Amino acid sequence: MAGKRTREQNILSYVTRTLEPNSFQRNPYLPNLINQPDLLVVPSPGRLIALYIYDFSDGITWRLALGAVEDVFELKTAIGTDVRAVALMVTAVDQEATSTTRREDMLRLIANTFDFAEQIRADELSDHPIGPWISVRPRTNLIDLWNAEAQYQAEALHRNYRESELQSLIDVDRRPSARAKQSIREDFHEHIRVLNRPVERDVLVPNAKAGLAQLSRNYSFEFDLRVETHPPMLVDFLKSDRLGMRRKLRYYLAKARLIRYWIDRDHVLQRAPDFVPLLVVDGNFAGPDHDPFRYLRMLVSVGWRLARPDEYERIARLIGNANL
Amino acid sequence: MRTYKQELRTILFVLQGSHWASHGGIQDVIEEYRHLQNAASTPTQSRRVSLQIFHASRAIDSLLAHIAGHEKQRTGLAGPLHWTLGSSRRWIQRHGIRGSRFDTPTDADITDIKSDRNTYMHRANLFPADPQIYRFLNRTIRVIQQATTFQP
Repeated sequence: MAGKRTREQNILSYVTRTLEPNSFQRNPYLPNLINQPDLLVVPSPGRLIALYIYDFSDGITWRLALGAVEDVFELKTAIGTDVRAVALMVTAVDQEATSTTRREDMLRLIANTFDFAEQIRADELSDHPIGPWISVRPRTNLIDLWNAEAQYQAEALHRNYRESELQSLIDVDRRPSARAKQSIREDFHEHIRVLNRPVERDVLVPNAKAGLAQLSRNYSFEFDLRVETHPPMLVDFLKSDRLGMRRKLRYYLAKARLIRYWIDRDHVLQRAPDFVPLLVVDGNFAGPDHDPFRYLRMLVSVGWRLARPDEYERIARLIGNANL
Repeated sequence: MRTYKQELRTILFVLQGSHWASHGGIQDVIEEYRHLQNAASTPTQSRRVSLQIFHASRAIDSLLAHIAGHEKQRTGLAGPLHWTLGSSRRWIQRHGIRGSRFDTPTDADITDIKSDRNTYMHRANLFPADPQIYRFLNRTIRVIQQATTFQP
């Protein structure tokens, strides 16, 4: 980790060396972003660039790639579609030699979502000329996606966000139980059996990844359960505690967003019928002390319904309402 | 505390990078936020939070008044002669700013800001504790962040 931190600081020093001193800010903090950019730059009034450094020198996974995609969604919907999203991805030499299609697709997903993305080799930082990121313009092909998502978020919050119903999920003293996730899942299955809805386990759901990034193949998301309501309810079970949950959170946020769209040759289409995703949380999702509902607000804004495993009435109501 | 200071520093930067930055009224808001930043170094807690409430209130009132007033002028729609936080919020939610409005939680934040401020401004010798003032200031920052996404 010390090596990654040093590398990140070196990259920041490198990219800021030609910038005007008052035109950039290191380590910014924007309230509605889960993962903060590493650098904000205002090259001229009215132009804002957010730069992220992703260190994939130890390898890249779909969770990491989707976390990066989530960063762009949050930036574009919380700060505005005009903010320029820049990604610098640090990779290792040996990764290039053994690169797989899967790895290339993950990197392509990131590159095709950000307004500007570049790979930097970990061993060539000192003399790697980074491309013209400072003059980047926002992608026009994804503006419809950002606008659709911003509108969806506003409507989802209006329909579904009630702090009174989510109070127990910000209780930091409510730690994840010792029960295995499988046991919680079986309990859930038993309790909804009485609702007479067909349930399918470990379902694969198509999503917008391939269209978004023009990938070579389709990649599905797996959900723990699918309940046959209309529209279908997709259920995931999650153990969560305040510490260390932000990476999981970014994955679940991106997941809920990407199942709602179909992207074909830059045309953004919303799925019909939409899915209703339900996240059953064992533990808590408390945000910082000065904004404890932050993470719950974000989850609800992207479409998740939330419940504790022991909230049987609430779950039954959510499943019943999904059928209206 | 460190997070709040970072948030404040960043929202100033975002304001400077927004489409509203070239508007004279917004430059005043940016300056007001600089006063808010400086208020953090006031050593006495009661004086510090008084200044923070004062500057944060002026900043957010002025920002929303400018945005609503600009849209009112652009569209020719009717509106109040003098803008308050409440009337700006109502106008924006009714008419939108080029179709954009505050989402439900942010709209609730504005109501909470108004309510908290009225409590602090109208009761002598009542000063919020640090956690309360940070929550108040964080709400103002969230509102400003969303407001900067509106197009002029």
